[in-house]
Amino acid sequence: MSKYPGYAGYILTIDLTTKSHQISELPRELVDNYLGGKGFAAKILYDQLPLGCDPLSPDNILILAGAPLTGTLAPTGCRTILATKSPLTGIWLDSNCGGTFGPELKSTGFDLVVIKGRADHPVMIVLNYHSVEIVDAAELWGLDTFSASDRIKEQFGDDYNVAIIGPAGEKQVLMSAVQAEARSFGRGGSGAVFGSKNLKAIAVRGTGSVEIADYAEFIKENQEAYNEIVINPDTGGARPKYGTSSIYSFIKEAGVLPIKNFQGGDYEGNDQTDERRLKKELFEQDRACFACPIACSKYSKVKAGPYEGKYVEGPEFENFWSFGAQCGNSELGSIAYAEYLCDYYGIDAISAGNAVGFVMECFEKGIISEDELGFKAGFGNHEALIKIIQLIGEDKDIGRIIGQGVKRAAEHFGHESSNFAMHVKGLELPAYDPRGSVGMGLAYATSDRGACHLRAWPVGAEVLSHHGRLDPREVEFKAELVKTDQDWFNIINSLGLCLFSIFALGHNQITDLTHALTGRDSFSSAKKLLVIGERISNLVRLFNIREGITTADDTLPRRLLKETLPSGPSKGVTVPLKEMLEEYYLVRGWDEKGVPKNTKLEQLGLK
Amino acid sequence: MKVSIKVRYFVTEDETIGNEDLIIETENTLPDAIKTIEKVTGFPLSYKLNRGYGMLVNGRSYYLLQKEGFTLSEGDKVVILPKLGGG
Repeated sequence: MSKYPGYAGYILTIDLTTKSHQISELPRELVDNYLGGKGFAAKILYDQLPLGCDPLSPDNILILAGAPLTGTLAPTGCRTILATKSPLTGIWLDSNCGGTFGPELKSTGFDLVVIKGRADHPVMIVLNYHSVEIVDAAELWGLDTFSASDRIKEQFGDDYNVAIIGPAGEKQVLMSAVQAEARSFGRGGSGAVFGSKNLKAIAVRGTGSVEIADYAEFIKENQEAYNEIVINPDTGGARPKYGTSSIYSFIKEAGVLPIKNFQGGDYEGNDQTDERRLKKELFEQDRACFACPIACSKYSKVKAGPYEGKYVEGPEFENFWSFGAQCGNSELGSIAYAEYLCDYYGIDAISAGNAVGFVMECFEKGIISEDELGFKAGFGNHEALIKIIQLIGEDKDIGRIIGQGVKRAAEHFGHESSNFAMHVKGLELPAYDPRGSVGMGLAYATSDRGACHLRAWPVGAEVLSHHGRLDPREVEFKAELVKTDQDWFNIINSLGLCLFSIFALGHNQITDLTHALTGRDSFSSAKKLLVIGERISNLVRLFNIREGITTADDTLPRRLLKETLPSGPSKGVTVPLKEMLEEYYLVRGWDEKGVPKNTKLEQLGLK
Repeated sequence: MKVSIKVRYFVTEDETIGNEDLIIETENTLPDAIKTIEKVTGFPLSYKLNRGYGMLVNGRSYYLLQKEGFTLSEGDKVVILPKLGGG
């Protein structure tokens, strides 16, 4: 039994080179100062990763980090972090996955699984309660994620949960992902790090339990949180009904939905494409993650047209955009099939769709020809979309170039294509155009893993602008908003909750849940938790600075800074990043070069 | 001055009130438009706007437009939705 309520209590460290492992107790200092999940991973990676190591070398470290609320029945408490040095960006990467894998991992008795070295042949790690096996996986190598996962369950039992890579990860495609029970550890190429270590999969099954400090209080807080989620118009209304795409029309109407690689304008079928059409034409069934009353995930099946019979768990909002509007494509069947293929090969679907849009623009501008591609690839060509994703998954032809991300692809293609390669620090942009919400521009520029909508999400507050306090086109208050979001999102990602929970639950409710579970004084107020969130932000910033990030990298693609949209509510706007960034550094207690000042580090106990 | 505007509800009331654009004739000030929308649809818009709902006119927040002294023009598009989180 763990010494700390809410935690499994142990760290497992595996060396794949020597096929050995060791188990150690979770240190009290780590718990009190870093909370769990992302916080744990930040501290371990900062302390243990060799400076400047090649992300695809045996020196890189993979960290699976569980969290206190994961697996406790706290609503949405199902998340687990996978952290490493990203091969796509060369900086910090944490990927966050829901579903059922996280609770099962925690039941194995480990809060942290730290994986080092490189196996000399394909292997998989099999974890049971405090039991570790490194098993030959040569027969699984080359299989897609679905088939390989099925084989593992046939061998070990259906009750195992599996995190696994497909052909993309094996071939070290830099935008590859790790799939876990129809969910993804996406962004930044963690799949390639698995591949570089000859690690095909991690299978987990546990029987461990988690102690609760104040059981009666925890149950009461849980019930209140469930009620809040169920009566909230988003988490109890819109999201169960339309999934994550419930915001599609809102974002589109506000002029924030990027179209055709952020060029704007229109495309065939745009008018008829929204969440209602998605529900009517594709959705068949709901699915919820562990302990989640929202059930935002949807099973979809294509009922007619060229992709009839194809199915996917999704499409999620981000992929509805990345394979849709980003590619000028309104063929819903192709969007569903594209997402399925990403799951099949183990590819990050945001990066993939963003990259296909980039290829389409290059094609239309004559930078890449039909002769070079072997097919036409203008916007709206859904057959080209599918073909390019297959080539990324197989690491062939154009896929070999574009699978390494748009930053590297632009360097390869030249002809000023870097001006419209939509990435920050090498990570492709998601589904929000910052010219319609300039705070999102600051969020992207300062996100610790590159362009990301899950580090801060100011767009909702900016666009609705309750009481006229925020203007989506103006800089005022954006620095504070982004900074506070980032620090609080760190807490959510360290507690094991889904970010969607915060649309219904306030700071104090989440704090009360955490305190009832853990009983720790260090988690007894939202103010104390926010200090931990700020500590994590600063530690990850120090990590990124150590890996070579400077203020010059805290920027946006040229298109967003220099080009305006031709129509819509955001017409005529560019992102005033410089002003927001200067204020952001000030609010953060960082110097003008974006380096945390000594006073800030001392205040956070990082000096 | 009277104008015709398009009104659509997103996400929670879309299937009960505004599955398609409603064409509503109203005086051209925002407070007048809110009263007319309430009358036509039966939806308590003023109450909801004070409790987290949002209203965009041509993609811009009604709160900002109100500060700017905006008046509606023929064909303007109004959308009404609950406060939503990210996807």
